[in-house]
Amino acid sequence: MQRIRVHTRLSLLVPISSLTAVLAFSQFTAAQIGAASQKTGAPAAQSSSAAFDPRDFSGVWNPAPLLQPKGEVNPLDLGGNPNPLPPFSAVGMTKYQANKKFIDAGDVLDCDPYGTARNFFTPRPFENIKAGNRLLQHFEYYDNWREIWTDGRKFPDDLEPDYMGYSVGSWDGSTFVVESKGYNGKQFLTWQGFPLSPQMHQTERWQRIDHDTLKIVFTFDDPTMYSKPWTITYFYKLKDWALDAHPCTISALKQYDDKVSHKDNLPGRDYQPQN
Amino acid sequence: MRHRIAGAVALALGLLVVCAPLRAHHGGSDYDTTNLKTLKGTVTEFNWSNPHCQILMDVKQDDGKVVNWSVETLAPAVLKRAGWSPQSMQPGDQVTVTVAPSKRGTPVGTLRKAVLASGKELTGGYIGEQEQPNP
Repeated sequence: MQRIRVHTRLSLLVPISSLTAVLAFSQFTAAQIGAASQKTGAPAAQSSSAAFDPRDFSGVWNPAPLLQPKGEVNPLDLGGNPNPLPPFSAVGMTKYQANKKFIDAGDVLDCDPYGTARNFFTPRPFENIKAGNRLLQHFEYYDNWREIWTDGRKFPDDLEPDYMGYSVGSWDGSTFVVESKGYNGKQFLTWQGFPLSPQMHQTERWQRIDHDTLKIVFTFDDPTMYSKPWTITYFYKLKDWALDAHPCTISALKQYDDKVSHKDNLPGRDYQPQN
Repeated sequence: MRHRIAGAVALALGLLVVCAPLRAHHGGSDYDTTNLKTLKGTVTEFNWSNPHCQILMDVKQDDGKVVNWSVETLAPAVLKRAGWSPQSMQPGDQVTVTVAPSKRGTPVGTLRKAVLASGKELTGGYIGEQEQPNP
């Protein structure tokens, strides 16, 4: 998907080159705004047998990838040939193969938000913060924010596609059901480059199964990229941490590129996306 | 005329940005985690920065030649939870680090363990609840 994004930029930015510097500056400015977000502390983690409110998901949660049931699609299997693969459509398989080729060439960082799924499957913590009629999620790795509306609203008719989508939450007993749509399809669903399209309808069923364990079952329904809905079950552990989120900045990426990637002749550095 | 010049400048600026090299990022598969390497040397830079901190250090090879290695770590937030701070290394410090070296044979590696100038040992930190590949 990043491959497509870069290509799109190439085709769009040249004709509107006078806007390019403005766009780059806007991206940088947005990152700085994220840096100014106030960090909050998390409740102290206790033993798993401690009492808890099953409807309270606030606090800092750290992914526990090895608790994922065996046999499911592993969203963090970076070993070249993930097994099993999700049920790709023909379009989805083509996209995945293109994305994989791109990642194998060195991946690319460009500060674009990670989207919700990729943030959830990144092995870095996130914080849930109750905020009136919303639950806010703050993802540490890229300093991304998500708001889940809990006031009973439906999806707007005029959803504006975005990296983080639009999310609404409701209760099914003590299970928090989050549905999200409105993704722009310009991000990977997982680290391996599994794709998503603007048709993605993502459903999450959150259950706090003990004091310090959150279980989320993700269902991905995207008829463009997948032949049928498919699921991932992931677990998160409550931590006594404050997030230490840093925004992605162009200057930090340049430094990394100069000090590490360039020195390692990483092929991704000079990789040019193909049509 | 002025509009033409302004348009040309804007076009040039735009092309400069479009043609900028892509920012590459290492994945775990870029490093040889089965043949760890121990480096003893002098810190020349310690950059406490996302996406990954960088330790640059001069290492004297067996043939006497000094090579400047780049050792990347996990993100600052991860290092902090493992006991590091931006002051953990200073230029001039004599340190020993264990790295998984790049498969490309370049003087680049990813940190596994460090023995600081003070003798204090620190790991490279963990991501997720268990050690995972380095995304």
